[in-house]
Amino acid sequence: MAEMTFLEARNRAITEAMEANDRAIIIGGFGGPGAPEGGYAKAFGAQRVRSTPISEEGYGGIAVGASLFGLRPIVTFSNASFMFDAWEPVLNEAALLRYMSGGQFQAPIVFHMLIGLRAGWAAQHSQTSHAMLCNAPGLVVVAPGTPAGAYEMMRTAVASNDPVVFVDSPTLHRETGEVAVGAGVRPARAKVLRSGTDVTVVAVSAMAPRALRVAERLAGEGISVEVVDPQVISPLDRSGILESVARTGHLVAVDEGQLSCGVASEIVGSVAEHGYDLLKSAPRRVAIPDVPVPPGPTQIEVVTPNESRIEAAIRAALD
Amino acid sequence: MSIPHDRLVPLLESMLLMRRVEETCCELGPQQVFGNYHVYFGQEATGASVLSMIRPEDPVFTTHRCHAHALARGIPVEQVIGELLLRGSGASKGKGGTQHIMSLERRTVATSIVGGSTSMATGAALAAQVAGEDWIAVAFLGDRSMAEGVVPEVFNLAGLWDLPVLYVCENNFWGPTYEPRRSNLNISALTALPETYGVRAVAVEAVDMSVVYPVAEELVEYVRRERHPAFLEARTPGWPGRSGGENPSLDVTGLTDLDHAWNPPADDPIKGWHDADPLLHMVRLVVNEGAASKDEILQMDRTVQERVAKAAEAAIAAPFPPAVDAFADILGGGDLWPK
Repeated sequence: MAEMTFLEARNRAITEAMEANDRAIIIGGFGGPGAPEGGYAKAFGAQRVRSTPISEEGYGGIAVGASLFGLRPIVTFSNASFMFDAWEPVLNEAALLRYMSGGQFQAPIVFHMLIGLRAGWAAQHSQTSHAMLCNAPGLVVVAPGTPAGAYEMMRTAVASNDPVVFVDSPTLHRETGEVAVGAGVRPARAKVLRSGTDVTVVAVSAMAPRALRVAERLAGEGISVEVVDPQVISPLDRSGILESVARTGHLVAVDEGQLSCGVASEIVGSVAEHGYDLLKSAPRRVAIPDVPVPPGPTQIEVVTPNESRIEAAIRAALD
Repeated sequence: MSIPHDRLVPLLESMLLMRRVEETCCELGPQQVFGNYHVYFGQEATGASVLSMIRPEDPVFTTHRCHAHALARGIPVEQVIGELLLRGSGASKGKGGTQHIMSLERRTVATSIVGGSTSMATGAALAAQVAGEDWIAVAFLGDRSMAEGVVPEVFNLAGLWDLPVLYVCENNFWGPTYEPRRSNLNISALTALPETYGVRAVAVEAVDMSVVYPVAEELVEYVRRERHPAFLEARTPGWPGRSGGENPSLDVTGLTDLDHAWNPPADDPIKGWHDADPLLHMVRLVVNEGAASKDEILQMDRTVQERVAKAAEAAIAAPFPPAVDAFADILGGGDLWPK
């Protein structure tokens, strides 16, 4: 075990993938793990680390074609907003070619993108599109909330033969934690980050450390919160979440995405459908309240799934 | 004449197979071929010539108009027609259909998203470069895909990165007064777009195999040798049967009669088509070059037609894939991902 930040853990997994397989390449725009300042170009050379013009659909499609014929690209779109320009190769090609070819072709790709609300960036740089991508069978979407999860999910993503979207958040990058470096690739499943008995909080991506801080505070009041990091949001580990709800009887789902048709909605819907008898109170969702993300500090505060909203939802569930 | 003499008959046979399969597709019609089908009449000289020069290891990306490309890649006719009819015996196990006939073994991918073939083929060329392989990639595209934004994006990247990819743009609205349709592209010629990005580009009238073959060969060899992208605009004659719109029938043209190569019909309402039909041109070329006699060609045609008819019978008799297979082949990660 080694203590490292989320960013170090994620980059460690990418470095290991690049070292282990000379067919692994990085393609992408500025700011992602392929950015020249990330050191990958220096370590692995310009042949395998491709800084691109701003052509998301073009390099996204190139990555898909390359993956069909032997490469294992890690594609960095930087901000999730920019991946909209590559919807065609991600959703129409990578996600569907295995299925539409009757299982002949596979597209082993990692599509990396950043989500997360930050003051000053405004709605066009604050898209949280991860739930939309969960609506595309054939794609896997991972969204870990801890350094250990970043390492493990990136390793699983590069090891699998599927197109995997790695949802990242800049607000997670400095979080620190223990990482089992070099451990074997394990099946990706929901992970209990903190055990509790009173309420289950399922927290996606950067919501995990927020939920852990709330849980710590409420423990002082004698409220025992179990925090679950789903790690994979599509396909969702429903049984892992249901096991936790079976222990606590109460559910709060937290996601830094839009409320309607979002990941929190899917978690609540799944538990309501498959675990209705486990619930002792109505499940709660904490998410962006279906508004575009404003840039100013006073306005962004009221739409962010922050600690006070998570705490309020827990109290409401237990009320 | 720069077509190797021993290539003439195989090229004709390839074109005949394309023609007879597309005619069979039209005869089966929308009642049996699910979805919109897109036929290849008039484009045979392009696909047959280019794909005769492409090696088995070269990845090929085709489009919604993929039947003939699949055949020229060697996907068995039974699997091609089986896929048109969405049978389990189809090349894509009945999950692709008329617009998505694919084969891993034949390294042939089809996409019905206009422009998609260009970006993915460019990626396959990148794979060759990174892996140090000597294969090249081929993208087929239609003239209307040139208005998609992704097309100049990948011309730019292929040029910047020196990627060995051949773009074969089949301009199938060509007529005697050829010019790019103003409603589609406000440029002087389709070749102007790739040329702007340093992609070697040549246009050719793809009617007569003796004209199109050497141009295609020059570009294929250029991409192989220079490891740099090239673009072929093949101006192919419009097929009058298309005027009916989607899911065309043979009402206008009927079945192709190879005898028209020597005995043009009198008072022909579709004389323009018969004059430009690349298949009739090829039949005359093969005879004139002494590669086969008229009788030998007619016998070859009968054999091809019997083969296609048998394949169609087999496809019709084949079952649809099991309904439960709707849930198969979504992800390949097995236990790595939750169920």
